[in-house]
Amino acid sequence: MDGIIKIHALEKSFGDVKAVDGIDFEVERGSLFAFLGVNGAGKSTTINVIASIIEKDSGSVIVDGYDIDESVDKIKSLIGIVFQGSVLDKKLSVKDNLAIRGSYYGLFGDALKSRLNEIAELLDLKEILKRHYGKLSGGQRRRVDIARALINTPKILILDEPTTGLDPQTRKSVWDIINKLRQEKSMTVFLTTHYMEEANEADNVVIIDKGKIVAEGTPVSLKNRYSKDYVYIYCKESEYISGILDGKTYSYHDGAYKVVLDSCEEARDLIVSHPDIFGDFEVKKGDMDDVFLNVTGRELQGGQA
Amino acid sequence: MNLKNDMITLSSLVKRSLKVFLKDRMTVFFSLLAPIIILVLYILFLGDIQVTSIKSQFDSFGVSVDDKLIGAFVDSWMLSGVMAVSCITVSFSVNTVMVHDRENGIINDMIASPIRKYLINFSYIVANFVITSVICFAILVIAFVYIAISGWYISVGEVFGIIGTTLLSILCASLFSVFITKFFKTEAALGGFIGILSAAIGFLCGAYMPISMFPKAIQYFVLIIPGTYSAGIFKTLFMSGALDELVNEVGYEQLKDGLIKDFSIELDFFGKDIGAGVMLGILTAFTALFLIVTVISAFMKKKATHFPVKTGKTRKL
Repeated sequence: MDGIIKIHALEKSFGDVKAVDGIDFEVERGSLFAFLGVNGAGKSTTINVIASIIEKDSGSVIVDGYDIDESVDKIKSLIGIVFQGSVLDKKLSVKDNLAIRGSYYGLFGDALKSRLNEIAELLDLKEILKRHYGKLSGGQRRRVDIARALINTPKILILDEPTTGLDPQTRKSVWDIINKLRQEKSMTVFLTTHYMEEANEADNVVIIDKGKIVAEGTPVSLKNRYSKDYVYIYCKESEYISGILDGKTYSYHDGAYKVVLDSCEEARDLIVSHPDIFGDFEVKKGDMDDVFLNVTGRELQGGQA
Repeated sequence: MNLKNDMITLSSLVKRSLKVFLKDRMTVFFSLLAPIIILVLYILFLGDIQVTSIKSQFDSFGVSVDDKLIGAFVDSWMLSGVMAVSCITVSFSVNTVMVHDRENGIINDMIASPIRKYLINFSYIVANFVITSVICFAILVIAFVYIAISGWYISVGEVFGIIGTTLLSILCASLFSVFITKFFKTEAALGGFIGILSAAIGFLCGAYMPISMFPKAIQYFVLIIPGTYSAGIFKTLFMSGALDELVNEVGYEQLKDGLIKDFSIELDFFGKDIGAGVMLGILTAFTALFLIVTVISAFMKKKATHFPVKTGKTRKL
């Protein structure tokens, strides 16, 4: 695997709290990598360490072959970050905002102008370049945030919960941009999220809980390993059905039996052998929600999305 | 990055602060609150009190002077206070941008970029100096117009002296305010502090009433505040011409020393009277001290400064 980001034994504490407690992972070049966890799990801390906003306590961070302890400025110029909250100036125009950020990377004059044009083209910002950032809609702002992250032509785009608090339509447009960047610029995208369906899009998912990595793999492999299938039988609670389900893991809740099964075959066998109790039913495959619940023993906030 | 790029980044950061500050009309207004308070109080009653007190003094000598001349003298006293106070309160208000940047994680965006760390800090000091200068020199122009109307007794040399004093006062205030503001975590806290400062600084610099009217303990206390010396130098430069004219008109040399003491044109420095020259020396020393503190603190803070942003903050759509 060609890892563009390699993290080894990373630790970071704030006072007594171990925000990141010895994590190892790699992000493959050109991949979409998702960092999944509840608020306070250590996602943002890890990102802030990679972006050298905070210093790590120990461990190593290698980005595109550069060690963060030696070539921090080089790494900074390889990364573009979309922060969770907005870091642009509301009272300034989109163009001013981007030009100022360009100067952080030594971009000015003609080089800045042509870069601005490229980004405006790519993200469809031409119409809003002269408008105040603070007066834009949520979706437009997010587009400008991404434009800011792209101003230095980074190899890696890091997005810290890019869609939290956005309406479904805007979320979709953010995803369209991410996909476009991956297809057209073959950019490596590293995002943190607590939305299951977003983690599902990723090539690789790392689940972090209380500063430790609790599971990692492709969404499919995680589902195979950590989720179960379910059968819901909608009916009145009766001793007869309970008798049939005896020996299996099940519960009765809100007018339905929920039976935990190892596979779909088991569900088929159950239905075939007792067709009489399956008047109204549903077979449900485990999803990322399920994986998360089983791995961490807790539910994601906002996982309903 | 080389020096040229550093300078371009620096000028861009300074321009950014300038734009962000000036586009926030309310902050600009509140930065002018202290001089406005002085002006309003002066027009309402402080001016009359001083004029009446000078007149009664003259009456006791059995002389009378043109009211306009006394007015010009007292006006220039008030304007010296306005200038001294403005340099300080405007400078603190400009730091709203810096605190806002930290509170909202905007500074993290700078830290994550390949800008040298000292540049970020330095840019706030330079920006503070530039913005405070823009506003204070605008106030100075208004002050000169005011004096021109009320009666101009200032020499060309004194005009340059006033400009120089303004620059030195702003430099001193910028270094001091940026250093102090590092201890404020939120804009709300800084706003509260500026409110108190705006009200108190007028007393401390002797803008509402001459320092000589305070008890001795307070008179000595204000000596630890650089603004006091800045106010003293401004008074000497703004008022000397009018004072000489006043003494000339009356013909009593003795009156001069009395007025110099009454309006604290000279300061009682722990029992010794000091004039503008010594005050300039002290103000310069304060500025040098703040410069040294700034440089030392820049070197001491080698560790990355990170400003945690409250997570869970709802983004407005």
